[in-house]
Amino acid sequence: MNIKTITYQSVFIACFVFEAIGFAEDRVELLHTLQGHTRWISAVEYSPDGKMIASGSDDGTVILWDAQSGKKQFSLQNYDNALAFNHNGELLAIGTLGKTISVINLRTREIKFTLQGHTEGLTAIEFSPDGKLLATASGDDTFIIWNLNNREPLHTLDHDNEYDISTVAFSPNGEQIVSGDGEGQLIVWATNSGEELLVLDDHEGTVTSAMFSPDGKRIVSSSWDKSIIVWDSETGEMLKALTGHTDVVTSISCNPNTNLLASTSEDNTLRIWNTTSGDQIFSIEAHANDVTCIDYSSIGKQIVTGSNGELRVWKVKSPF
Amino acid sequence: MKSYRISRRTVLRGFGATLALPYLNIMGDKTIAATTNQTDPSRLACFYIPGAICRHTWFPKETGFDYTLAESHKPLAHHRDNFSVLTNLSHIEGRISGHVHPYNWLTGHNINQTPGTITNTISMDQVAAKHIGPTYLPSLALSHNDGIGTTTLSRNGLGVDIPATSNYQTIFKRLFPPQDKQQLKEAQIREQLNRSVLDTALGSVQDLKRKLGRVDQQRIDQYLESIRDVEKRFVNREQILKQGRPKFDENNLRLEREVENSMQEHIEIMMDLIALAFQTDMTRVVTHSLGGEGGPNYNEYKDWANKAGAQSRGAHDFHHKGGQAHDMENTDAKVLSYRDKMFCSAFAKLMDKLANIETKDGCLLDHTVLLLGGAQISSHSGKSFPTLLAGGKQLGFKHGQHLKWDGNTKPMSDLYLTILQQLGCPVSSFKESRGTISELLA
Repeated sequence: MNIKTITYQSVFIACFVFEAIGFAEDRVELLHTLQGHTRWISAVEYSPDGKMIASGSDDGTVILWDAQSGKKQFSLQNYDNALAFNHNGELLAIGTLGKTISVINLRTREIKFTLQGHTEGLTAIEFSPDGKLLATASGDDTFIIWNLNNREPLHTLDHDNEYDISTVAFSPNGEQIVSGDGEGQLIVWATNSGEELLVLDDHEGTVTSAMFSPDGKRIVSSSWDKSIIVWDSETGEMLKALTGHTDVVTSISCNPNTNLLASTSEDNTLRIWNTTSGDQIFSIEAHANDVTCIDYSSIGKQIVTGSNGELRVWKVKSPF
Repeated sequence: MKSYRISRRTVLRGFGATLALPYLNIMGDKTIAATTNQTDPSRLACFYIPGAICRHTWFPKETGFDYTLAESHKPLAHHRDNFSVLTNLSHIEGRISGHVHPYNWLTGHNINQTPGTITNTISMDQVAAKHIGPTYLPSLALSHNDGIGTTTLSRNGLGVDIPATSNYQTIFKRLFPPQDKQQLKEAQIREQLNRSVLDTALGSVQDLKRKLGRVDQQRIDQYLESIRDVEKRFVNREQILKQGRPKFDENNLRLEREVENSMQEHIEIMMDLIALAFQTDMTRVVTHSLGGEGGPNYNEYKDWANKAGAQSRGAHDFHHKGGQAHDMENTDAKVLSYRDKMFCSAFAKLMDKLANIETKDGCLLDHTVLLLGGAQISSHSGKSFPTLLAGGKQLGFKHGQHLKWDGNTKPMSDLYLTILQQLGCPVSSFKESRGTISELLA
């Protein structure tokens, strides 16, 4: 081993990893346990300013929480699956029971408009970074990129198979979009043209979550195969496989300011990973049941996780 | 001089006439054959269970006639003597994995023999359709969606997919002659036109045959044989069109779902149409794919998830997670178990209906072979097929038992051969069959 290749950063990470194992509680602190839902939480997201948390549950409701106090602000009915804030936090899009997408004005708490185009329930929703487009994925095996100016589909795309599109996410500049499906395949598309750019095919089970890294250079994806894969977003090359979860990885979220990634699993844990080295930084049993969803706050200081009827808000301590 | 010879076509017309039935004002609870005291022909319906089954509640523990009903089969308890559970049948040479099982469930063909392309052979139902049909419609392929590929279960003599349909109105229109007099007349004209095209083709072939050598004449004879099948089908259709639509209570026939996206209602409407089609003898062979490997994500999955305390997932994900679960503590396994029980409940209702329709010598169920099964005990695995066989007592079947073989030893094709022979098809083998299953025969 060439000693010149060991950077100060590597030494720091190695020391940090060594220190972190067995001391997970020193890295995160449970701030709140949010009770209010009666069934499994299927989606959770911080508002862009980090002040609010939206959670959606199999009980058919969305609850908006104050992220600092943990108090319930208000709730919305008719939720089916999937939710997302827009870029400025004024709108919340949710998948509803009628296979439609309702876009809620959060100031008036009223439906601003609805979008209809899917023939089965929604599985994932995301606004583009500039808020002009909305991507919606569905159990009808398609995803639609909506132009929110005219509220018409810009593209309806599919993976040419009969499996749900399970996740969808824009790149930070909005020029690309990645979609994952029920059989483990990811496809990267050009947003404007709808052209297929890359096929990422190494997962061996349903893709549960996928997203671009904050710098856009990588794509990270999680799967039922218990792994998280880090991909080069330009070449499609698999850079790292993050293994350690002992059950299905249900959700992932990138720290907005670092190369760290948080993941949740049906092994009941929350884990933090370094996506550059592939190392697991720490693991903690976050809930007594499967952990179904996760989100980092916009400044990376909080994490929220969802499980059966409860959410937990975690304060992330330095140096995360 | 007037020829004393009776042409083949005249014979066929005569044959058609013997099939002609008097116009029926009310069929009631009898088959169309029973109303004229004729013996009923045999029928076949095959139902495919998508993805996996819940293995913990599907397989009975004991074998033989004194077995205890498995939890999933309890809706069939009152028909215990009319069905059998068959465990560990599979396609041995034709074993495949993944989500392509609907391609070969009824064919037994290894569709991956040529890498990069899917090849297939005739499905068991189509062999039956050739021999126990034809009637107004030689066979009917039903499904959860319209389409080919994994959506349909039926493949023709060349292994080509026969498109399946999911639309009740379309099925009804295909099954029955038009009610409207003008439309009926137009249908009759269309049939005559088809017939005249066939006659022209036959004439041309006969002219050609005279100019050929002996070997080529034999080939032409083979071609003519297949034409005769088509011609026979026309005769049947013409006769049925002459009689018009049989009378039955159309007002009580459901052709629309009350609950959008309900799996159970969709299956039950299809079952009602199948029972009516068999009673009126409009078709004798039906296949029905009860769901896709990857969906639809019917409403019931949410209800079952709620009941089981499971997370809401898509159908595909329930197939995977429920199918591979190690025990019944697993909530996804419970969801699959609820689904399997619903399938058996719908199957039992179809058996109820057929059992309540009289034939000359019993009931329609006794003349009908019903197959309910799939090709995977857990998703992607083709090593043991969950299989229920029901009905057909007048065709020589003996039920009320759980038969179990060692894994990977007993070809599903043996069951298909048994079914085909008992239906009256003159076949001595099917795909990789080694013989019939004597334990199933009275």
